Amino acid sequence: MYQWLDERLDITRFNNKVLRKAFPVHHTFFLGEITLFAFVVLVLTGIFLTFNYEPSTRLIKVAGYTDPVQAAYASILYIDSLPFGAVIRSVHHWSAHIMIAAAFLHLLRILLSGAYKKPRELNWIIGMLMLVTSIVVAFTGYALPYDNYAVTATRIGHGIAQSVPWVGVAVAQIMFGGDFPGSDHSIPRLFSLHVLWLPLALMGLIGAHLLIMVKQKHTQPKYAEKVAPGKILGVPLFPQQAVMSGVLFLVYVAVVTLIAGGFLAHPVEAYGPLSANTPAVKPDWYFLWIYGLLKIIPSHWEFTIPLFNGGKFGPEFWGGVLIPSILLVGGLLIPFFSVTKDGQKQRYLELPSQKPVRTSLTIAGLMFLIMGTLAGYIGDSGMEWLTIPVAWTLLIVAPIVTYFVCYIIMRAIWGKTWPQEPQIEFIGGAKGSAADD
Amino acid sequence: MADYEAQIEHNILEHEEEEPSANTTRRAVLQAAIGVGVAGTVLSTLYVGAGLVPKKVFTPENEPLAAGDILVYAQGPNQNKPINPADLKVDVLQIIAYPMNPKTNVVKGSDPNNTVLIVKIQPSRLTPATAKGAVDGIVAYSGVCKHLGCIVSNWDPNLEQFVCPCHQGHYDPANSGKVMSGPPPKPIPQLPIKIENNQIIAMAFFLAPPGVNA
Amino acid sequence: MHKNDTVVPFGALLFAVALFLMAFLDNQNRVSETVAIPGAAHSLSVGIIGLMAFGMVMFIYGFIGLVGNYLEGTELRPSKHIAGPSSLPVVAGVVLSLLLVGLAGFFARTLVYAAKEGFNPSSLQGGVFAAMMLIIAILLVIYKKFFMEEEVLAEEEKGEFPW
Repeated sequence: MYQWLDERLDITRFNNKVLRKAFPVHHTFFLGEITLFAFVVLVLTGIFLTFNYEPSTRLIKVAGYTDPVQAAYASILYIDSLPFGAVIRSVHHWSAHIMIAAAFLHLLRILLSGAYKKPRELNWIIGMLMLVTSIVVAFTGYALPYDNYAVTATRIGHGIAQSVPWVGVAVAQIMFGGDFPGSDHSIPRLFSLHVLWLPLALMGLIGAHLLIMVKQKHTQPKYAEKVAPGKILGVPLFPQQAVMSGVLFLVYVAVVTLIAGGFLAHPVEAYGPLSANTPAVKPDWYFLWIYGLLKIIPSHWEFTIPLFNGGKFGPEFWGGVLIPSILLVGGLLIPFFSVTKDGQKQRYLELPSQKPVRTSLTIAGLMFLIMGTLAGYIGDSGMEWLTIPVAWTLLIVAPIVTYFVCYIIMRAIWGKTWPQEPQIEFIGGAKGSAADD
Repeated sequence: MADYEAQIEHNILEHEEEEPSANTTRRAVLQAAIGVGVAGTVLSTLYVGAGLVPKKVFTPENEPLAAGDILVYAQGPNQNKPINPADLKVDVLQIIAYPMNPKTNVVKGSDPNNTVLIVKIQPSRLTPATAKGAVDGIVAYSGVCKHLGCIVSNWDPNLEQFVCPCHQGHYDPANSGKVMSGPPPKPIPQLPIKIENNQIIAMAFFLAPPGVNA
Repeated sequence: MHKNDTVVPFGALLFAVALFLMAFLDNQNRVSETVAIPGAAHSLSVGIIGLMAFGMVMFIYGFIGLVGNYLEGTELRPSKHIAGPSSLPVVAGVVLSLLLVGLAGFFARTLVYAAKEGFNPSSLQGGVFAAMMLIIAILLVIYKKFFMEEEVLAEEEKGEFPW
């Protein structure tokens, strides 16, 4: 069998060239893999869901409801009634959250270890685009159950999209298939974006990301420089790395299925079908910081450029579009400002403790996002102390204080090691294979 | 560089000598056990796919045809209105009809197997068996082709036969729906009818089960 | 951070526990909302979903980090190596495989029962399925640890693949 295939496909060459790619071993390298497996699980569960979901807002009669409900909502009830159907839908929902969380942590790891530097600038950019795309995919999927909560949350997104000067209304009309809610085209439009075009785009980006990663090779833990200078020290893709990935995939599915079965993330009957009552909605956690910004930007911060019919710049634009875009563009530019010495290649992971400015800035950025998220809770019961001026103060002061506190703490602990190159200490005989040396 | 190549060589030699054949058996046992366990898991997980077979939902619209149902137009300007036998002409294209429940007036059009063909031919041409279920040359048949389930909606005026447009199956309305040419394996079953109050009424169920699988 | 250590993954596991605890406490303090359809399950708040999502990522990351350290060590050296012969992993593997077959049968039973009786408990089904996946993962770990050749490569920096 092997010989038959080998004579025709030259799989020995495939094995030597592809399957023996070396994968450096470091636990933080699994964060990207978790993101990938979340996407795989999303596709697999998504196939099951599309088989049973009806992207339509026509009204139909459903047992147990006095008034007719939208077909989309009814098909969610049907999915939940299938054996294992509720679990699959819940796994799909949880995986979306996990994919974004894991992608964000993967991004932080790349940032803190300096892995975005030459030659990996392109993969940094693709990675940022993937994060944005996955958030948009998650958003387009939000309205599909068509319960009262999902519709209200999506309606807010429609409003934000409309706030972009000049093009916003057209963009919102195209993306949401007309007015949302109300248009009969909106659910089919969001459905097509959610299950077809955006996932295809994401697959293309993932393919490019992996291909470039294979070409450029991984960054490595620093000790590899002593063990095998100028080489990539790692385990072969097949079989060892493949088995590790298999274990990770199974652990992923196990953890998510357990939680998803126990906690249905979006039980549509808790909100009921679309009605005139607006439920108390909050956007998903990854939008909360934008939502917080929208809460604290005063409504009179607006002006209009009376050119070409309505260049209106309002608070929704500042908070919902401009600030996130500035952060995104700033993120994309990081590898062009933070560069290696003399245009060298970045071969080894940098230690966060050795890069105090970058590490402190990263943590300060996190603090900004956390404070923005906190502002999203203005007006909640038990949060009466959080007024708009307090939120503004926290949003501006907390990141600055965080930066300096971080820097001072790092200086106290690692300051002595900063002027010199980090020393690599060896541990002999910590591992079976090392003991054989 | 040659250092670790030598190292690797050394390791391979050392361990190949160490590995006893007992370990090969152990590996085979463990592989078999894992294989059985994983195969069981895959099979039970595939059973989730059983949820993809939808349960049939019973509604008044997809109840099977029953004796006493009034035959109504399935399409056209008179859709859902009872067919008046006086409107039928001899040897022209069959009318496609659905049964209507006489009590609730629900047209049972949701089940394709309820589709009925109605045509009028010269009473003298009918075979005796066919004439039993016919009135005044009006005969009714199941509209679902026995070949692959298309609706037999064409009429050949020269041969005076029903023609299924999908694969040119020809059925003889004068002789119990017998297959005259083409691929259908069985005749389409006749529906015995009577006429009351200028309406065509099903006297009984089809003389044989309608549809492809029957 | 230089090495494939156990400190960071262990810290991640602790952090995961802390996140789940926060989610639990947050849920305790929530004002219970009325559900639209009587008898429906309560929803989780977005904050709790976020905490739990990060908790799950941290747990998975910490878990695979410790497994990776157990299987591949803290540092790599170019070598080929296989573990010494031992019977215990075979016994453990066979026992786990039997348990796995039993769980697979039980899982199929719950699905059949749900289809027939309409009793569709998602937490039971999710739990059984999770247990099956975890057992396969453990079986793979056992097999890799005791019966797979461990090879560490030192690959040239420039490669022919993909171009």
